[in-house]
This record gives sequence, structure tokens and C-alpha cells, in this order.
Amino acid sequence: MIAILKTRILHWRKQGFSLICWLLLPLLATTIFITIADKWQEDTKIPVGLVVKDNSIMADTLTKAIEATPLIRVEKWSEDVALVKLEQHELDSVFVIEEGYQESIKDNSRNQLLTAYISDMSLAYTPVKEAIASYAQQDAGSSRAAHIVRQMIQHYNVERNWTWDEIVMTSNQIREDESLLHSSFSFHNQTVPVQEENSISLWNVWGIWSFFSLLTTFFLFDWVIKEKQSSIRIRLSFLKMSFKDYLLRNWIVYLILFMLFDFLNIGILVHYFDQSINIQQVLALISYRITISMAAFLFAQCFRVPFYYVVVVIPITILLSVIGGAFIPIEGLVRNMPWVIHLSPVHTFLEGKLVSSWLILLLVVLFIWYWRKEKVYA
Amino acid sequence: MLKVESLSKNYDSKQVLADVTFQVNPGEVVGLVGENGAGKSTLLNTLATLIPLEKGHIEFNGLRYESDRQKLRQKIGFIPQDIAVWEEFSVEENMVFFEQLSWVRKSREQLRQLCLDMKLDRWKEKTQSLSGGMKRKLNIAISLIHDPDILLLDEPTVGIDLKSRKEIGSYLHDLAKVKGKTIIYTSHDMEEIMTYCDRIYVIGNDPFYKNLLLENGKKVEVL
Repeated sequence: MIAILKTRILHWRKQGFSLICWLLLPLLATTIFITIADKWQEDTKIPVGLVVKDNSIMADTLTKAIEATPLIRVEKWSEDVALVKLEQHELDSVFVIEEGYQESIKDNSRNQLLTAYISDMSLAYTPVKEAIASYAQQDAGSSRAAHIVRQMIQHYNVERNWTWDEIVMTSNQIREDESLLHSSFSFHNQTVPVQEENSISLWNVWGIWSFFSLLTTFFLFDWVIKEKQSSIRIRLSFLKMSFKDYLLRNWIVYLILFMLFDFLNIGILVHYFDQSINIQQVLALISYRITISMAAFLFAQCFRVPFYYVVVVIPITILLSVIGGAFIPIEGLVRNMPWVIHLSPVHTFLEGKLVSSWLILLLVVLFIWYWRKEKVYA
Repeated sequence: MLKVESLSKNYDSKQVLADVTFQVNPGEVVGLVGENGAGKSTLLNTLATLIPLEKGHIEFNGLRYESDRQKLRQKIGFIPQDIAVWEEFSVEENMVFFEQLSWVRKSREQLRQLCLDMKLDRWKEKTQSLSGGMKRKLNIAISLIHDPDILLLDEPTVGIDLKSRKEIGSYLHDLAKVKGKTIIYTSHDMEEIMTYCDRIYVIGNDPFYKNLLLENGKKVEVL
């Protein structure tokens, strides 16, 4: 094995720069992709105009809630300026927190709390309106609860006389402490990431990484074709090991190299994107690495020309990544067609599972390949 | 000693080798000549254990081709017609690469001396920048790393200049005479064959080669 490592290093020294570039591609491409996508996502947030005519605490809290809404970029203007911007389609819609907002809530009046303006180009008005209305409903709900509590205090002659402000404030405090109206979603076996709601990313870091990693693995395994088809092939039959042993041991050397860079990738990605990772996911990554390296190794043996191999593996990589949920979640698809999860090793990796049908199948194929008798003794 | 008895080989319905029998002693240089497609490469590849033995019997120094293929490969130095070296490697890297995967261990100095014996002195130079003759020498030197007892060469001097051809021919002749190696090689260069070979086998039915050799006073055997 040491001999194989030494001879492989001779090859790597010749391809030093390109090899390092390919090995770092998953890390660099994922970092660049996610950074650009998040920036683009920030730039493409829905521009919503907000006019605040009420100076109350409740209006201020509502403003902050709207500003913290994911995928909305709030611009505060006077009503005149906001409407001009709406006409010029610089804003998707304009919402006005009317004067006396808190008083109306306090009086249990739910009409005319907010005013909304839209244009013929307001594409996202409905979901934004629903989001903002839900905040107002929340305030109205708190107020109504406060009124009922006060009625109960009077009805039961309780000594302590809670004011409306105290009840609403306590209610809000409890809501925040208990996260009654807030839910965080995470993948199975994944620790909930510490992330502010407003900085939510639409992209799955490990999904994007798995795509580039798969692509790199396929590309770097073109050595199998080059060494099988070269004139060297006959000479390699006269080694102290069989040609299949030579290929297999080189595969192991590549596997170890890939794993070293995978661990480097994990460290940097976890740190840079504030991702969490546990031992289960590390093991899933190792399993994924073995699976895709084996797939590339065996698949490359079916080709005689590296160019055709490259042309074929690009669409295969994209397909496996898409159906594996690397780019967009496929939970809906899986609900209707549960067998879809067996079509891509990417899904198994993203789910944090260790054994996939791909791994088992490829191990069987590798075993058959190794023990199959060649027609020619080479 | 190499013993070949009743060797036959068919490719589908076409018979390439028919009941071939001969033997070669240690220290002998044997040439194989014949027209293209006569079966020279098939015979050489069979002797190199690259083609399975279907009919007949071959034995080298007591090792049987039917059962001792792996041991035989340690004794065989096969030089393919195509130059089988890593073009992007230097001469040194090529030698080190194949030494690492060889049955025997050799120091860099020994490897370098092997090249120098063949008058290949561009140790650090990239193979792709070597002349055809130098590449051929490297092609042979790599096959000699594990000190084989028998050398099988498939047109080892094709397409190179006269000086390199004579250097290679002379080196192979010395290998047989001084170190007692068994050497079998194919070539279309009749002058080279006649100069360096102790015995010449003609393969195929074309009388051209046989007549040419007889005209030059050479003893010829037809396989």
C-alpha cells in the first residue's frame, strides 16, 4: 500500500495545482454559492413601505415585528412619499399603522387599524398582508384577553387590580418566554441552528456541498479511464500485484485523500456558516464519501474516452442532486413516492443516515468486479 | 529453458498458430519474423502470459504456463511495441514508479546505472522531451528493473535512428551472452535480426522472409 501511495504521489505532483483546485472546489463553490445566493436573497426581499402614524408602544412593537419578518425589506416613509414610490413600483405595497392604533386595540375595535395600498404590480401583497395582519391580530387577541381578565377580576372581586397595560405586557412577556407563537423547524437528528429568523437562508449548505462534492469525485476519477486505456496498461500487468489490485488500492488512496479534504470542508463550513454537526452526520458523510467514490470508480470503468465520461457524469450529478433534495426539499415528493429516497445517495447523506441502498448495491458490484475472471490474463 | 509444445491459437474460426513447437536455451537470442498478421504478436503475448493458453503446453525453467502464471510474470520482461511509459514523468520518476511496484527493490543509483548501461543519460529529463530512441531505451530499461530471466520484445527498435537501434541491439546481445538471459524478439528489420539473433523462426506461409534469410546464409526454422 505504501508503494501505491508513493507512485500515486508521483502522479499528484504532476497535477498538483489542478488536483488541489478540484479538491477545494466543493468548499469554495459552496461558500461562494451560498454567500452570493444569500446576498441575492437579501437584495430580492420584498420592498414594503411602512407609514407609522401612531406613537404608541404597541405601534412600535408592531413595526419591529414587521421589520423582523423574513423575506420582507421594510422602508419607512411618510404616507405621501410611500405612495409615490408605490406608483413608481419601487415598493410592492404600502401599509399604514393608523393614528390611534393602540387605543383602537385597547377599545377592542378591530376596524381601520391598518390601511394597505397596492398597485397593479403588487405581486406579494397577499402573503405580506396576511403576515402583517397576523401581528395585529396578535395584539388584538392580547387586548381582548386583558379585557376578559379585567372582567373576571371585577366579577370575582379580586383584591389586586391589574391594569390593561400590565396584563398585555405580562401576556407579551409570557409569549416571548414560552415561544407560544414561534416554532423552529429542523431536520431529524439535527440540532436547532442558532439563527435569527430574519437571516434565514433558503439554501441547504450540505445539499449544495454534496452536489459539488459528487461532481468533483466523478471528475477526479477519470484517472481510471486514462490508466486503463493507456499503453501503460500492459506494463501494469507485470507488477507484483494484479491490475485490479492496482486499481483498487489506488481507489483506497483516493478515498483517504477525499476524506481528509472532507474533514477540512466540514470544519470550515461549520465555522463559516454557523452550522451544527454531530457524530451521526460525520459518519453519514464518511458513508456518503465511500458511496460516491465507489460509484465514480466503477462508473469510470465503463468508459474508454474521458471526454464522454465527463459529458455523461455532469447530467447524472445534477439529476442525483435534484432527486436527492440537494437544491430544493423533496419531502412532498417523498410523501407521494417513498421509493424516491432510494434513487440518490445525496438524500441518505442529507438525512444523516449511514446505510443507503446505493452503498449496498455498489459494494456488491465492486465485489463482482473484483472477483470476475478476465477474458485476457492482463 | 523455454519449451513450447504443440501450441495452437484460434481467433474465432481463424487459426493463427498451428501446432507450434520450439525451444530456446538460456543465453540465446531468437528472432521471430513474418508478414503482418502471421501471429508473431500472438505468440509473443502468449509467451508473456497476456493471452490464456488454449491448446498446447509451455514451460519456462520448470514453471508451467497453465498453473504458474504469477510466478512466471516475475521471470518475464515484456517490452510492448507501443512505448509504455508515463510521458509527463522524468526518466527518474518513470524508473522509480515501476521499481516501487516491482518484485525487487533497487536503489536510485542502481536504477540510474541500468539506464546508463543502455546509454540513456537524461536522468532528470521529462520523457515527453526525449527522442524516439531514448524513449525506446527507457521502455526497455523499465522492463529490466526486476531482473527478468526471459525478455520478450515486440519490435523494440521500430521507428528510431540507426545509432539507437545499434545501441539497443548490442545491449540485448550482451544481456544474452554475458548475463545468460533468454531473449525473443520480433522485428521487420532483417539486418538487425540477422546481426543479433542466434536463431530465427519464420511464422506464416509467406516464403519471402525464409528466402531472404536463406539467401543471406542464415539457418531458418519455420513455425
